[in-house]
Amino acid sequence: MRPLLRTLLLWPVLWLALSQTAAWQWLLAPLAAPGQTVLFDRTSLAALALAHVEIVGLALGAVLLVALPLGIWATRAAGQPFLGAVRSLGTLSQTIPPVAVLFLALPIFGFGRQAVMLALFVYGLMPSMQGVLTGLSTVSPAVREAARGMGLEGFDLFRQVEWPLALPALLAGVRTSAVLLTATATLAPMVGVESLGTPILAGLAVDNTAQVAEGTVAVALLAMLTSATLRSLEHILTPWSRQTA
Amino acid sequence: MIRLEALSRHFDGHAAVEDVSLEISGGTLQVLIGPSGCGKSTLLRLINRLIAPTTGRVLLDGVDTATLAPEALRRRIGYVIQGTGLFPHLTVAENIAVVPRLLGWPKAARRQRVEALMELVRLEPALATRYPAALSGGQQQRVGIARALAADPALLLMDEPFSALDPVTRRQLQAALLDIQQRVRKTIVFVTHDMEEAVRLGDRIALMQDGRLVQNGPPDALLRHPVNAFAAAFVGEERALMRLARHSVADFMRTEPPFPLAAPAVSANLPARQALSRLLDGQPVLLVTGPSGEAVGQIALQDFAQE
Ligand SMILES: Nc1ncnc2c1ncn2[C@@H]1O[C@H](COP(=O)(O)OP(=O)(O)OP(=O)(O)O)[C@@H](O)[C@H]1O
Ligand SMILES: [Mg+2]
Repeated sequence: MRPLLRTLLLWPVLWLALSQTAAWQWLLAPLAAPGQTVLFDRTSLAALALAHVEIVGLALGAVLLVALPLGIWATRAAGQPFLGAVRSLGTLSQTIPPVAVLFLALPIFGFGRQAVMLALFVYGLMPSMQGVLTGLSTVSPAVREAARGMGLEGFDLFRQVEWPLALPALLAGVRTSAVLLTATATLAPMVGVESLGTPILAGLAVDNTAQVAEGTVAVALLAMLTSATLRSLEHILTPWSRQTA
Repeated sequence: MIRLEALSRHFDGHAAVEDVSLEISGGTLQVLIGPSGCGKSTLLRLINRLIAPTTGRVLLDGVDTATLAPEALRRRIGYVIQGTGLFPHLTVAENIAVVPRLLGWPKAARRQRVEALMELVRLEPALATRYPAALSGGQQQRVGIARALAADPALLLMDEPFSALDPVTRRQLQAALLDIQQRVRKTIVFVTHDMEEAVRLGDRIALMQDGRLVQNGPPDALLRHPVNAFAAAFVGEERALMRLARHSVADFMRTEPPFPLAAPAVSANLPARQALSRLLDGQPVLLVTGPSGEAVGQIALQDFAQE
């Protein structure tokens, strides 16, 4: 419980840090050319971060909503013939550049959130998908036989043995997806959705290094904290995967 | 009581078990032995119905197991799998308590049972909260045995439970099993491919070859009268020595006085092999002593030569 609590406490700390406008101003001032505004000033950094987290959270939710049932189904007897296809789907989805998806989605959804969600969903699917499949398909045959030999079948076998044993690989996949999505969500402003990418794109457009740095540093901090939080979640959910002789 | 009736199991036309009929009476430790791939594990899985027979039946206390719900059947049968198969995500205590939990035992009863079983298989109580990855191989196999015994099944299937252990630990666990068997009499089907282990543990030994039963009977019968060349070769040239595995010094000593009081003393219940080894080491005679150290007999090399 401790490590999770610690990382969770870091979230308000990050929020506070992002809200210290004066400090950011002071830190980034050396990077700004004379006459440039140091910080992006249409929206506060903290508000941008919140929007960023929201986009990533929604996209990750969509990823899980698809990856979990699909992965579970593909590793059951009924779905086994489709295991290869599901695996390829995950891989394929990540080979499509998110920028391309953004612009392909434009004629359908127009500017706005839906296009961003689609791009993030497609790009973030693979690691989670892979994690679910790896986790569920690598339960050792000896463990499975012991479980069945003790009278565990079907849903009991899944819930009490296969699922908990799949968690380490599954959660690692989800963590990779989350970090990937946090980085990729910087593209959102390309279709008119605010995120921590907004100061980066705005800065790039007018050659303002300070604003590019502002967004970049914030995204990096957010990605690190996201990763650390999910790691500590893995830690408490799979205590057994740490102890060895 | 288990009765296997003309049991066969084929995999893609290849017979893993072929026409095996075998009766195992209650309280017997029945060993299944044979070379790798002869169908021992398959036979165990047919008994707890992890696989269904191609032909034939398994009767448990006179009831055809095909008529029983497989899950319920398996919860009544302890199963020690080849290679332990402990659940990595459960602690030692949780591993042991799996079947009692499935059977809906209350928590307090489960805890008591776990404590008693850990003592029975000689696992330190402190290990209860460890995960299997943090145990030695011997400790893992003890947990596997405790887990199989958890719901006090009348029938126990053990698939090479002591394989891959050093000889000392192996002997310890064999002794522990015999000890447990004395205290809580079970019907045990014990798979091994180690002849010495079979002789030490088995009330009866069934020898298998290519899925078929070659010979079944008490260890002495198999050792003295192998039915064919395969059985003789499997039992091996050391079969006379093997027989010693079941005997203690008391079975061979001479009890007529006078006793060689100056000779080194050994206990009457020392395994006969160990006494023989000391005699072969150059000791002409050994004094045999009883439980309170009194002289009860003597033993020399020639005592082993007579039947
Ligand atoms: N599920 C299966 N599918 C196909 N063939 C199998 C299956 N299970 C066992 N066999 C085959 O049946 C034969 C007997 O296997 P089994 O595992 O019963 O041997 P064993 O006597 O336990 O061997 P070992 O001492 O190596 O454990 C082998 O030829 C094996 O390849
Ligand atoms: Mg086997």
